[in-house]
Amino acid sequence: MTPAQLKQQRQEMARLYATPPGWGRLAAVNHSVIGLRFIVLSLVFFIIGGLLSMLIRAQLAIPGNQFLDHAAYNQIFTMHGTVMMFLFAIPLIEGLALYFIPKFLGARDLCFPRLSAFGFWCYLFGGSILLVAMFAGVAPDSGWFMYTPLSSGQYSPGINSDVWLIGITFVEVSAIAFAIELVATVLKVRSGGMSLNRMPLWGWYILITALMMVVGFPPLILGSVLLEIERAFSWPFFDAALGGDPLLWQHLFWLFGHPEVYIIFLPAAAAVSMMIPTFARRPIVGYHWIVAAIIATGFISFGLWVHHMFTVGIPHLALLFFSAASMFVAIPTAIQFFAWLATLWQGKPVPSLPMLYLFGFLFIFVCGGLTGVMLALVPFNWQAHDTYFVVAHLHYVLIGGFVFPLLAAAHYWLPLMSGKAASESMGKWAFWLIFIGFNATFLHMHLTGLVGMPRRIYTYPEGLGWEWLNLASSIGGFILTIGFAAFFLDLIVRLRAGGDSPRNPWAAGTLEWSLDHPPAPYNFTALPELTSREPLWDQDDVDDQIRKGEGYLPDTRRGWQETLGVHPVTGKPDQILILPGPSYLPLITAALLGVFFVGFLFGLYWLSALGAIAALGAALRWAWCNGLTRDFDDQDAGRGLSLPLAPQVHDAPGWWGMVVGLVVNGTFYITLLFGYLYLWAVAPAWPPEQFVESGRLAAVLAGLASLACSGGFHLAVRSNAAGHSPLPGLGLALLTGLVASLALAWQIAHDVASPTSHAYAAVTSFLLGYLAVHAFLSAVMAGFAALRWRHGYVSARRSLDLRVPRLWAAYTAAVTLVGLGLVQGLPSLLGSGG
Amino acid sequence: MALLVILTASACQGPVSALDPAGQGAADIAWITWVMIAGTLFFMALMTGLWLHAVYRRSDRPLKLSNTTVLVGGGLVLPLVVITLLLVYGIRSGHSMLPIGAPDLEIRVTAYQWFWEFEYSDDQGRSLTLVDELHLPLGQRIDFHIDTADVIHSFWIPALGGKMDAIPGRTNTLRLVPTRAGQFGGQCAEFCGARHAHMHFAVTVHEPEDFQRWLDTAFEDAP
Amino acid sequence: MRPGPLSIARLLRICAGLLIWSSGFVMLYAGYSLGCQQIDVPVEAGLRNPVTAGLVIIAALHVAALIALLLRRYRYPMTAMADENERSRKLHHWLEGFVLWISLAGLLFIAFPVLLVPPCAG
Ligand code: HEM
Ligand SMILES: [Cu+2]
Ligand SMILES: [Cu+2]
Repeated sequence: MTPAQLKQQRQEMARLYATPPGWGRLAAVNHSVIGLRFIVLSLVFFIIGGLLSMLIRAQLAIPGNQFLDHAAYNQIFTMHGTVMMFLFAIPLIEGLALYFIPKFLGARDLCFPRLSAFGFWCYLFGGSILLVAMFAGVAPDSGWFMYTPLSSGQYSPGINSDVWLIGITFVEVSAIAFAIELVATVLKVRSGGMSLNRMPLWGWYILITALMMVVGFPPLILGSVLLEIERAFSWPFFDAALGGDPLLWQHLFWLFGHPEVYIIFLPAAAAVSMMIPTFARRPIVGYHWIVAAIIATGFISFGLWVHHMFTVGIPHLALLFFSAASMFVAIPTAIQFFAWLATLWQGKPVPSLPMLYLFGFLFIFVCGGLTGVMLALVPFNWQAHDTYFVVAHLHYVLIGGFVFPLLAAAHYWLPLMSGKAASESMGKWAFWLIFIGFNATFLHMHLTGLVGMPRRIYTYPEGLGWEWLNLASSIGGFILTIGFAAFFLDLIVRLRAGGDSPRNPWAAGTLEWSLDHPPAPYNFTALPELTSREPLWDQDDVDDQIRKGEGYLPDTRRGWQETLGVHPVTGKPDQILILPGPSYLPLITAALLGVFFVGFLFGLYWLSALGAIAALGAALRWAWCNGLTRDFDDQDAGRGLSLPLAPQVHDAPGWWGMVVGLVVNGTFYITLLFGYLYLWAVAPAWPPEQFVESGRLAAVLAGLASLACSGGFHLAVRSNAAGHSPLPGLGLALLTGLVASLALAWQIAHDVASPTSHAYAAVTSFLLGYLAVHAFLSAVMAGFAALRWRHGYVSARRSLDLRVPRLWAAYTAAVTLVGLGLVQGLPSLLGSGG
Repeated sequence: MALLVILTASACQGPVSALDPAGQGAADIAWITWVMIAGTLFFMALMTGLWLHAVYRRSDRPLKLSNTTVLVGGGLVLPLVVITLLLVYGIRSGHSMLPIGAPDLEIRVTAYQWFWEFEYSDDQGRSLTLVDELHLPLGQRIDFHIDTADVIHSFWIPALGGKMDAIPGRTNTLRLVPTRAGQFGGQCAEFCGARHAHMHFAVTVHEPEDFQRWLDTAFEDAP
Repeated sequence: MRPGPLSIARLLRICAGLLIWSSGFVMLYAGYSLGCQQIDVPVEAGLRNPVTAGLVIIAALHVAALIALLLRRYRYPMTAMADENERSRKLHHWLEGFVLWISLAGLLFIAFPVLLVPPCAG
């Protein structure tokens, strides 16, 4: 192509990928735009959380301080923890991954751009609920882990706890959306030739992080839903007097809560693993080892949660399993550290500003990790638990393991993201202020805890030896804040007035540095064929491929936004993805979901119901936009390759999305069964007065109908593939789906005692309700698929619209059979209960 | 340096300090705490030193240490050895603090928002309830049976040993063995609402004879 | 060709060791909790009691499974998929083995306390 042609090509692409101006910005779906919005909003929350921590430190500076009363203090520390964990840390890693993953992996966007836009709106609305409540003086005040019964209706009658449960669940919707998006993207949407072994480590880290979110968030969501139902309708899931158990909440919360710590740490470690090779001037040492370490962390971190519950009275040997696992998880972390060190030893390290921040990371995080091992020791934990030792430890881990790497990352990637050159001096000042301020706040705080200061107290008396420790922490806290202010000031000055950055200023080897600084909305003019993990170091031709249109999908000739889909393992291109353009639907759907949540918050359940129905309608309308209305032949993908379009292949991203979504759903379900069995086995006040009554007929009917529904979809897929009409199969599925949901609803109404009477009745009703909703949604999907078929979206070659709901129906049948088996079988099997 | 040591040492003193132990469990834990703090400092110095050497070393040449050695040595062997030793010690020490074998004295503890009730009773059917005030005999094995009337609290006397939560619907047992007479402080360690910060109680450890004398008079005076 | 399920199988195979580790962890914890709840084991019984025996059996079965997978791995190296480059196959083969070893160590590490304390005390 001639330079003139190229220029025109790029202009057309820019037009095609542009986000509309003005109000149209609300319709934005481009991953760079959405990613930056996540990042900016999370930083706003960081500032809010930081200001709250200053209030905490001001109050605790001297004994007997009158600055804040307990009502204000309890809201402030709860909001500080909640904001920092749920509204700052998680969204920030989400934003970074949304922004960077396509740039690292060689794609033009994520596979479901509208889903990430939807996630952003959920985050914004959910976070706003919490902020509004805070300014109205009714912020949550039971601590960021919201232990029942303190957070239950009896002891927190106000709206405060509802704000937490509803706001956070709303934000978690965005986390789930993110997780589904990222798993599907990392597996499917990369550039040609990027096999798993050539994927930059960041890709592995995010893949595992997203999978951990898939498994980690459902317990929290389940817990929040149950607690909110308990508060709203008095179903006693956690009420010991009525067969519930407050410890169930702790299990559900920490089953999420511990992996959460690694969900925050792994992406930060990912950034470290990207920066170190650049500054060591060589590829990472022990790539294999790091990948294994990430995978191991992903698993083992789910075996640690009881270390937050060492003092609740669980027998000693049970604690030891968790103690051992908590110590064992140090090994994958140590592997990563020594891989980084080895990389530096093998290379020729260049000291630089990001490296300085990485030194801060090393120093602080190692300390936090070691105090973590200390806390994993059961007897020590009996003393240190719930004291300021833990506060110190968690800040060493979070600020050291998360904030410092990201401060380094900010300096490292800013030239790419903004096109502005890096500066040194102010950043160094900020570093030393933050580093010294941090240690001056938290180092001796370990001691504060060991000399007996419990956490979460709004005031303390004189004479216990805590005075100067606290005063020093408060002074350190203000130095730390000044440091952060200096850091942000530096960034703002550079964004406003910095000089232009040269391309790839650090001479890095990974793909993102081949982009324009800042990158165009479509990232790559053409997608390169990769043969190396550090293409900019090893492959002379990548720049030509990307910039001169010699790579894949080099033009806009079909008028679509396109990117490559590849085989998940080998990286061989196997399809062309057509990306959707800007749309208001994500915003509308999220807003309607907001109506549902806000209605619940104020007890306006009719409004909630309307919101839920409208949101479902909007989601269906949204789903309607996907797909093609006619069959296409394979299309030219550049570099001599012809590829099918995504809606016409077997494992399109949509299929993967449904698989991952069902894993989320299945985890939710398994956690629910865990809760069900847990209450049977250990809750006080069992057995209930009455178990499920007879009801065999309805149960058998529901089971058979759900099987038939799944069979109906199967039939539809089969006949469609053979070129016949899928309508008979879909009709069967529609009908049996409705029958199943009605039979289940009938059971709830007739066979189960009133759910307010006992936790058994409550959890059984909830389980049956879950199944009923699933059966009902199967029916809706059948009707929807039939409509899609009528409008020409389905053909023998375009069968995704049938195969995706088939997965759902099969899942529904499976969970229905398991659930009904438990509900019907357990009472007769265990009789009087545990 | 000496000043720092003195300063830290004096900072560890106090009526509610876990590092100024007056009980068997607390003494054990204080000892392992110091060991672990020393270990933490050692490993921090090690890792910091390695990093500084790796980044700021003079020579440009790669280190003559094979990568596998570094990864196996630092990533696997070193942590595995340390955590194995630690875990074995922890198991033994934790086990020794459990309420195994008959106690010499049993006290019922009930937590309320926001105070503590301690109930003593003897085999003659006499009983006595104190609020926010606890008297204990020196050198005896004392079992506390802890429960709550409302939300979760946590019973903690740092100078004597670890803490134990008070959970609705259950009764947890904590064993403490005081080894030094004197005045100590206890407090609620699990956040329990508005006045959590004020949920302290006073602990007095008496010589056994003094304790018996105190108990007898207290039973007499009890309504 | 159905690349989807095939790649899932490959990814699961890389994680096989840790899946077994997880199963071991869950079964040890669950078996222990239920065991101590259903059976009355006095502390004086020491380690000679049905709960400890059950836990040892659970741990042994999982260790055996891991060893079997390790043997299989060394006997039959992972085969390449269509279009897969050799380094990719090697990486996955290596990962499978390393993860199995880590899991074996991890399983022994969480299980050995069973042999140090009587189960249902405290
Ligand atoms: C900016 C400097 C920060 C300071 C000075 C600070 C200070 C504090 C203090 C004093 C507490 C204890 C409150 C209490 O127990 O009464 C606390 C709790 C907490 N902080 Fe921070 N913090 C800072 C940053 C962060 C960051 C960056 C995170 C997370 C990414 C974080 C997460 C938490 C959490 C989760 C809690 C526990 C809240 C609870 O007990 O419910 N903090 N912080
Ligand atoms: Cu944890
Ligand atoms: Cu309390």
